[in-house]
Amino acid sequence: MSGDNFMMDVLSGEFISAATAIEEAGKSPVASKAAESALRSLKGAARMLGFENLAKLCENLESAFGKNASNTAISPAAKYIASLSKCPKAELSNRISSDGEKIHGLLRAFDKPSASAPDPQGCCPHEKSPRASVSAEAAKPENSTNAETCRAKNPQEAENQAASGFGDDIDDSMRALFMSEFENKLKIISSELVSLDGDFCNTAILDSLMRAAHSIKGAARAVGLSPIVELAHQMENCFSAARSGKIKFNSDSLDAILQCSDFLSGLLKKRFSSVNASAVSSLLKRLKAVENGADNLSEIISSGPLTENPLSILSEPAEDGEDETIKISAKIFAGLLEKSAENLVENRRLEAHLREASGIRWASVSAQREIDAAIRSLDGVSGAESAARRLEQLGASLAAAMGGAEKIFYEIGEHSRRGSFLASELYSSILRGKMVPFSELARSFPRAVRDLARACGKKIKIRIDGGKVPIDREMLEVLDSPVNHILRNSCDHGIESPSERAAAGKPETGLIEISARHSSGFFILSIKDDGRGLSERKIRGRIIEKNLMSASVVEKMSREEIFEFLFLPAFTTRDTVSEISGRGFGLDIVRSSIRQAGGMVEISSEEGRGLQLTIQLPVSRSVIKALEADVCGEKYAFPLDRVRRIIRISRSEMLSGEGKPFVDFGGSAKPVFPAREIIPIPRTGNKSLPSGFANIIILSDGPDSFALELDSLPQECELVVRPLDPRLGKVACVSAASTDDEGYPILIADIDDIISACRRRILSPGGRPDSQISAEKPAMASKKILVADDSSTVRQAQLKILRAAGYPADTAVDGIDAWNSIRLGEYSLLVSDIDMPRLDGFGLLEKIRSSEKYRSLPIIIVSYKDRPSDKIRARELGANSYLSKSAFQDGTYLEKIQELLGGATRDSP
Amino acid sequence: MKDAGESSKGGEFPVLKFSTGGKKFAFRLSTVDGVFEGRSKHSLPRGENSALAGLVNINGELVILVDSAKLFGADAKVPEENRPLILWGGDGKRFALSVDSIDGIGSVNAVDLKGCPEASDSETENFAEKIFGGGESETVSLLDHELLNMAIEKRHL
Repeated sequence: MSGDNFMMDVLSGEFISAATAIEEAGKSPVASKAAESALRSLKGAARMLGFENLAKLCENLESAFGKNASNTAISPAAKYIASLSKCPKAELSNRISSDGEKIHGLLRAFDKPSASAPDPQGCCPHEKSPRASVSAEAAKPENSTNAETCRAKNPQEAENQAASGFGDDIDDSMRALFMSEFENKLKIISSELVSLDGDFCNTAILDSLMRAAHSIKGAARAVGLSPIVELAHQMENCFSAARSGKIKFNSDSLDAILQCSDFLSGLLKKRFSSVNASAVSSLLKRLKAVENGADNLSEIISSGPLTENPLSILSEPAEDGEDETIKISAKIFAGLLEKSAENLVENRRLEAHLREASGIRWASVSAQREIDAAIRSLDGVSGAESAARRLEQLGASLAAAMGGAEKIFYEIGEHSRRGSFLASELYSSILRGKMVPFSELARSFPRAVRDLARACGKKIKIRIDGGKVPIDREMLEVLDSPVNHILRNSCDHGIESPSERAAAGKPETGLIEISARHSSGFFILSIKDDGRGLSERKIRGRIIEKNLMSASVVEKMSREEIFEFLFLPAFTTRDTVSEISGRGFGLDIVRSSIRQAGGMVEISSEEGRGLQLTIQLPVSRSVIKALEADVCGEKYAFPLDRVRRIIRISRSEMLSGEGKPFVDFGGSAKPVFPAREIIPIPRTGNKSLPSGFANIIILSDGPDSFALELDSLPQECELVVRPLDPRLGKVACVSAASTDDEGYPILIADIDDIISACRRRILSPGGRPDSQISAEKPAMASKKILVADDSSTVRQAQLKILRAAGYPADTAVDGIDAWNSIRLGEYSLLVSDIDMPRLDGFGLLEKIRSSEKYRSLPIIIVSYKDRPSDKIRARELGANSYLSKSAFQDGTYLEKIQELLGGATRDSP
Repeated sequence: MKDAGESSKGGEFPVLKFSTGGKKFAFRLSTVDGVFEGRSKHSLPRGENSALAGLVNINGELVILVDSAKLFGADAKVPEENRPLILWGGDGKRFALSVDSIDGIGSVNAVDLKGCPEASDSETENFAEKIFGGGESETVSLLDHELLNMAIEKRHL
């Protein structure tokens, strides 16, 4: 039976998922569970399409993974699944249909008594991954003619897959150690090769390259990665030949070796899960050609795509003398930061208690004085000697007690000071843990520029300053893509060709200067080239041509305003598009990436002299400078990078228009929006705005600005940013949270949200304040259906059918999930599988039918087993209908739903 | 009545008992991470009818605060600032639930659990898996941890 295209797509996807999960299954019990789950999904999909024997095979595999770790039938079945995952979708159905005998044979293997004997190949899912043998077997030609037919279009494909992976006796820690060393050495090779460009005979660099290649070779040999050994050995030969003067490197030689380096980098990213033997063979030929000083090297190296994206290299290894690093999960690090911040708060509370203790000390001193005065007043009073003595004893006791307390107060004070100091140091140290030098990103730029220049046929050098300037690692990752884009632009259409530069009186080699620095708590990155710069005339012309503005308006715009158009999507002044750039989609993405991270981008240029882009980012996403103020009695923080000015103005001095307040800023009247109306704050416990003075901040949005009134005068602060719980989704006008010095939560405002809300108020002046607009749910016009099935494939397939018919639908992964969903949601119908974990379909049916509230819910049971006994039981328990797998194919499924529910909307009959 | 009494899974298990809106509830202690008082809170810009009360700082972690009275459709008997918090839910799914009072830790035998009556009061949500205790005033609803979590996530977040 063949299914429709969608189902075959789904089946094909399920094969790929199952094959991947089976490969990983041996690594841990969790991975084995994942394999069971993937096989269960594949089983469901196969059943839906009528491939019963295949479904049975999946069921046996699933069971074997779960129960019998030493089943010899697993490996051939797993290999078969892996082979089907590689079969083109269009041929999958025919392949499965014609593999009937093969599948029967695999099924019989599960029935054999010897199935539980130890697998001589070691394919025990919980002990060892069958991955190595699967991959190796996949390389051998299969006996089945149908397999050959399937692979006819790619006869080399299976043969190209070499045995992958580490040696059998290499454990996880050994692999991790190898990969760490491999990464470090590879980065040395990559960066040194770029340094070698133009200085081909530099012996120090060649020595460094030889050492790195030699280290990789030794390490790869130790973990059984033979292809890597061969490649590293050949690289070493090349460096040695150049070092000894036997050959002279040139740009083509470096290109060939860089290709090898990129290939190895790609393997590392895939964690050496598989190695393409033909790629290795091709690279070895190229390296051999380099070693022999071949003349036709440029032809050889351009003969096939092997390389990974050379611009994707982000991190560089620590140089000699730099600190070692360890990896720590982001979650643990965030927890450390939170706890250290709380520790700081607790220590500060101790200081407050100590100040109270000072008060007690003074009170006792005062009491002592009173006692002394009382004793003096009794001097000479007849009969008062006893009282005077008692007072003296009291005074002495108080003095002794205070003496002891003094000592304790002193020690507590010392502890408190040391504790606060240590807490503060701990906090700062943890914050610094997130900081990395800018050079971690910048190291990749020389290579990127080199490759781009060669691709464009230009000569370009790069100068980088400020490599040691620290920046939050998260911010560095934000910069990666935008900076690479800017470099691409500079190389492709910024810097001229050597002949053009010579004609313009410039040096043949163009220059790109990158500099990083800190300023006022921000990280400032400047990227400047000495190319042709921007043509203001051309940009103005393009604006008019695209009908973005009229000619008369464009004429009056300043240069800075004109340049802003470059950040619009698809705006380009280029007439042609190259492989590298020119489509006009880059700068808008650069700006939006930077803005999302809380930064900004500015552009300046002089035609004929070059272009400069300046990026400003917070130094750390973890810590921001902000203005803290009250709104409705609670604290909000407004990131300082979006605040242009603070204005404190008497209300009597404010301008007024149509009953609304305005404030003069930059020569124009800005409407003032109260933050308590813009941010949808719950209205309980509202206080009115303070009278007398208004505290206003001017928020910037490019050339625009907006005035926001706060309830208190804002104070500058530095806050550690805590992301909101992801379950909250996007909270209106809030981007993140933090706590102040005393542990009070503060919400960090989302300036873009606030500005959008201000804009809406301007456009709809009669509209209600955002805080009064309640979230009204649209009326439920449609009849919602709940689908309960533990197979994700089956759930998705049903969702597709139902939604195409106009029925909104939700899914549940098992009987308990379905029961909970029914109690929480309003469903008009339930479609449920029988076999589900935790609570099966019959259990769910019983629960629903015995419930007063839900007993009348229409229920359809869908079963792939199609057993008469199931049908009877479903009817007895009160199911409205029982469908088998064929219902999806022959339309019965939708007919039954329509019969039980009518049309998709409540108004439908 | 719902199915009256399940077959015993055997043995006792500890519960944390609390009250809200005049009714008594309990969590399985294994789902509770702590009880706290006097913590700093901050509201969130959300709909007023939501049980989502904001964020609360618990030992440095900003946890979602849920008002149990609004969640259960009851009237809180204690002012907001005096309500203790139950930190509940487990890793990655935690909430801080503000309640009227904490009634202590007790032990329940599975054989003493009874099925829940169908909710007759349409304003009171029934998130209980079982009830225990005797008499009208002492009946304690053992909350269904998963259902409650789902209800909060689907309806109030």
